Amino acid sequence: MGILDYANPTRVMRFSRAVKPWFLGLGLITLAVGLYGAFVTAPADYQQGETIRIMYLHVPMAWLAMMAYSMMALSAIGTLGFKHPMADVSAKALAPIGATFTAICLITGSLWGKPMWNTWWVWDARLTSVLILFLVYLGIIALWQAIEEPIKAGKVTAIITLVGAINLPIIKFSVDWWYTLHQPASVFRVDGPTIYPAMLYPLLICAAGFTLVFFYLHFAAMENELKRRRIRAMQMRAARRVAPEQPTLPQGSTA
Amino acid sequence: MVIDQHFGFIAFSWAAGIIGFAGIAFWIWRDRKALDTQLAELEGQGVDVSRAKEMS
Repeated sequence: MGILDYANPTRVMRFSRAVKPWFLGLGLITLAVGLYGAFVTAPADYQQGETIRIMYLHVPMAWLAMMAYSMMALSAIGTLGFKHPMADVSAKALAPIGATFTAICLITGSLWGKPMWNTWWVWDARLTSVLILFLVYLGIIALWQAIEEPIKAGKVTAIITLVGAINLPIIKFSVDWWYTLHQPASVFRVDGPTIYPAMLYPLLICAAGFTLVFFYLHFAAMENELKRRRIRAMQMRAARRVAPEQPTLPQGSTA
Repeated sequence: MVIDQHFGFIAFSWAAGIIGFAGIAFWIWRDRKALDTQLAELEGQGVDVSRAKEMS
């Protein structure tokens, strides 16, 4: 039995129901600790002053927006490569959560940019590529809504998701490849983080807390999607029982 | 934390975060409620909904 066989809907739901309260509980406790660090123990930045407090929300949202899309891209491979039934359920559940996190990232970035850069928005590579990520999320959500048949919708959105995944390395390396107003990476660097530890630890704790809450939301949305598919299957079976068998018209017939 | 002249930007940022999280959680909860209503309607029509109820 391969590892993918364990991810059948019934097993996933059993797992989801068992771990969901833990993800939420641990997430909220971790966030409470992280927020205490972010607002109480972490010092103000010597250049940015108190506006550095926005970082503890903005940066985890940026990381999670990209992580959600990476998970969607992996799910797309699962859909197209392995035809796994849980892959497109996971991808569909991720899209609205990823879009929300990207929107929070963009809004908080703009609110951070105004006092620091004296502008709400610039069309630099980092900001523009994150805006594109948000638009791709919206496009994928619209596509899921537009195609009624879930398996067909899963295949089409998987292709679009993989095309959109090109944007992920562009977001990550945009600050290195182009001259941008946005600062370069200061945590995930080859030579180690450049942030003062008193700011770094609350940031990492906040990120861990938001990640746990993210997984709680993902599991809850997956449960909904599985339920929707079972209801759809039941409705179709009920409709077939009610309606008498209709003779199939030949192709091209207009009757 | 010292309240400086940029307090409004910090407050609006965190408010946006709280609204975003509350919004997505509410959307998932509302979706679940709508699905439960559909399930109850199907059950009312005499359809066996036991497999879908496993998701509840």
